[in-house]
Amino acid sequence: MIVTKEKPVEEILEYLAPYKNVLVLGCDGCTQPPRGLKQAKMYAMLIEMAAKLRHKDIKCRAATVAMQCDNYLCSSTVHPQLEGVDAVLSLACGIGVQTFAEVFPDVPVYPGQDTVFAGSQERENGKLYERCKACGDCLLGETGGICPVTACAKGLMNGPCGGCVEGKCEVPYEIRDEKGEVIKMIERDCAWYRIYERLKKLGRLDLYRKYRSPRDRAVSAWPRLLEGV
Amino acid sequence: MLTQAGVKIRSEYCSKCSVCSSICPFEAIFADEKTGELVIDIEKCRICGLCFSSCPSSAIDIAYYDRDSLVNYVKERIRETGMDKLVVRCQSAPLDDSVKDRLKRHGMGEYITLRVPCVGRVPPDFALRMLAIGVRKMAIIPCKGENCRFERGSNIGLLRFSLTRNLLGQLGLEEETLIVIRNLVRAHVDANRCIECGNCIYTCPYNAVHFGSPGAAQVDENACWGCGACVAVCPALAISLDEFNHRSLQQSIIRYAQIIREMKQKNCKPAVLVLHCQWANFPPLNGSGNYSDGNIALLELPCSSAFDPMYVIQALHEGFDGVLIAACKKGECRFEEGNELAEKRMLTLKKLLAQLNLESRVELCFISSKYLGEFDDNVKLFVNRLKPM
Amino acid sequence: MGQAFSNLMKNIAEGKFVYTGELEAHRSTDLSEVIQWAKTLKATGKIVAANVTDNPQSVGALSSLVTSYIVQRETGLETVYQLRCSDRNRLALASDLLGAAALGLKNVLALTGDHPKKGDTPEAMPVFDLDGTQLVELIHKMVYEGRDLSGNEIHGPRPQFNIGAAANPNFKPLEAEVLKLERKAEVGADFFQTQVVFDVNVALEFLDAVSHIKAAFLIGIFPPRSYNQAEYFAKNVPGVQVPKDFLESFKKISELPDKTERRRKIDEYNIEYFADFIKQVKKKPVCKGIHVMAVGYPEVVNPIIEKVEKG
Repeated sequence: MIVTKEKPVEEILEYLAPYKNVLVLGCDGCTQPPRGLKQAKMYAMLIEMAAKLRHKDIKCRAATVAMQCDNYLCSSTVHPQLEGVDAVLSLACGIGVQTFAEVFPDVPVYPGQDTVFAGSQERENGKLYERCKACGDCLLGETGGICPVTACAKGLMNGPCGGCVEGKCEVPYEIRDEKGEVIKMIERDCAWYRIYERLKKLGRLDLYRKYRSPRDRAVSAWPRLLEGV
Repeated sequence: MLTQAGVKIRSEYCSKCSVCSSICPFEAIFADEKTGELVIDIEKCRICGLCFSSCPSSAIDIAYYDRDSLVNYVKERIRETGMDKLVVRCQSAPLDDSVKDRLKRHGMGEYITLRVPCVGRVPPDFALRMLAIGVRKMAIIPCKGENCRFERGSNIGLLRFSLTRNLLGQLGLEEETLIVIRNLVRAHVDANRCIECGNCIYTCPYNAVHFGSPGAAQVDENACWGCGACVAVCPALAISLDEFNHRSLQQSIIRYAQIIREMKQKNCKPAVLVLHCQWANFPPLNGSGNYSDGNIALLELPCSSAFDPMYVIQALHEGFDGVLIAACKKGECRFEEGNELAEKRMLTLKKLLAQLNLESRVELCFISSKYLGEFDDNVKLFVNRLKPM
Repeated sequence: MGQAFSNLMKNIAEGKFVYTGELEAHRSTDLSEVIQWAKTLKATGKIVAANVTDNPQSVGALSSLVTSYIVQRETGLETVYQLRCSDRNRLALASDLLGAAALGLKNVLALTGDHPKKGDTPEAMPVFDLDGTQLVELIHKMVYEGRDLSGNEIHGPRPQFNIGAAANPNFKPLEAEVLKLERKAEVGADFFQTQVVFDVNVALEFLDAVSHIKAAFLIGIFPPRSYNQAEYFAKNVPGVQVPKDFLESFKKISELPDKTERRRKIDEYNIEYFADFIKQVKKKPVCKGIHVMAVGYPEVVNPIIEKVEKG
């Protein structure tokens, strides 16, 4: 799923400063954590409150869409909600925000989230891990189901590198606070070490031994377009 | 801070029969080795009141809903309303539409409602005393036995009422005079709203929620305990609990806010919403307690795990100066450590509110209804810390 | 192994046991210190070539291409031009390599390079268009096919490089490292210079494990100047094992009150220890030399080598 994190309220207020009537628009699609109706309602109230504390008057309404990145759904379900709205605060990922902007060229839309990555969720610890770089050239079949493009900090094809010590990567996870400052580092397993171990377990060290020639980066050059879907 | 126990054995009346000790579901009552006197270990006690209702010598005092206050309450209601039918219900057994229908079929359209934490705490002579003060028909709505928040309370209560009914039969009264309908608060999913995120399925401590195949989340009625943890984690407002749905809670908050805003203008005291777990605090029968320090509104939750940050933000938005969440003490949750879920959620909420410098306006406290005054003390402490916004 | 273009590789091909040194430029336009150090290495008469580091640990420094060239020009000491993938895509790497060839450099050490987050410019984009092994392939293609990775032809004479790569004898499990080195040799690495090794048994085990690989192995050593430096390796350089005896001896010496005496003893110990170390690894046919990383400690380089040569 697409992982997002909330933007600071301060930043949102700056965006919305010129407007009086704002629609906070959630998305019921794949965003994780979910940014649906409840989040939209919460943010609608939160923004009104924050504005009031700054002696400003912003009126917020809340609504949600099944998938904001679907231009058809976005246009058909949001349209009736836009009556009297000066601006929209989208709680969808960056894709949803852009789709909205395309579908409603006359309505200013602002992101309420920072889109972080495509990742997986570990519910037990409340953690979200980046898992896919959408390179467009999947090689998980050769690497024991572990993506070196994403899980290796250098995206190496022929790892591990010299930065792997006792199975750990030289580049730890960095946990950042709202201001973007690193507040915590968490040790991380070396992706290629894991690939080696997993392929060994699967009896496929031949895949580990194999030399992988340089990737064709043109495949992942952006922006991309798929046709005929 | 007061930590006086809400339940006490008066040794001068105690006959040392040990009924209380054998009936206590929490093994909190034992005979003192030296004196032979029965003693309550308040640490183990969950203040279900089973000992109180079963003591043949009336030697056990309980702080909430003692014999006389129960009777007086009903007397008062009879006088006010002129009604002569009474419904006694567990606080987890909702008067939902199906129960109301059945009551109607038994000729009970209008009635006085007496809501108690557990029907097991109602003394055996209660029904007779009710008849004596003019009640003509009674319905008992206990929780389903296996879901009793006090393990045995529901079944014991029911047993007592069956015995009373036999007695009434022998006295020549109709069997219909006393009816029993079991019910339990449960979660319901609005399939049209469900976005299939799986939060409820992961959060449910009873594995009672599953995805339909294919489609929306479904609650297994037999497995659900009605704690409401799923309600709080649903991002789509798709889950509600009997009696604890978003609409009614939000409306209550708006209604309370109106009243409290008016009061605030008069007395300039901080307005506080207290969302309390219905097991952490038993409000007095005659309404709210005495909180002269502030304008306090109480809203009950089935468990602190049902506390939804949205309510808190709404309350602050509607003009409350602060919101206090009252959860049961650690290890005393009636469900599966729902208070720990509430604690985690509170951390996230505080982080969010900190951006508006409002983080000190919300607080979570862990209390127990078995300590008299603990709830009030925590509320007062919180109110006194707050300054009106 | 390919053709021998450089003195380093020619020496190896002739069956000589070689020694390489290391030079490190800094964030400065002044190379006089590096040149001075290169002259010292050259003066030993034992060091056949010296590596020139490329933004080591991702700490920014004067270009290794320029440094390699100037050192070679000013001192006559052959250089091993280190080139990292951290900071350049394949286009930039190829053009730097053409430049290196034009400037007459003959050795390139192809490195993946540290992540920029490890260095003093953590905000930088980590490039890694290629990894170290793929860089070996690029160089090999340029030298032997006259083309880059995309097949574009190099006009005129082809570059003449001997291709080096890094190896880590400390890596565990060794099997994973060996398979990786097989890959690097497969795509054209002529020689490997290894990470620092203190424990001779680690080096010997490694050399046995890579004996089937057709490339020259140069074991990396680092004679420490003080107990603190030795301890630093033991404690702070992950994966490097410093033998207990080694550390304890250094500690004992460090407790001597007289500074000159202390220095003399440390030199003696280093000479004794590393000469013995080299004598042992030299017995392995796949081991073709030693890479001495004694930056700022020239006094011991010559005596160690002389002691080895005396037998």
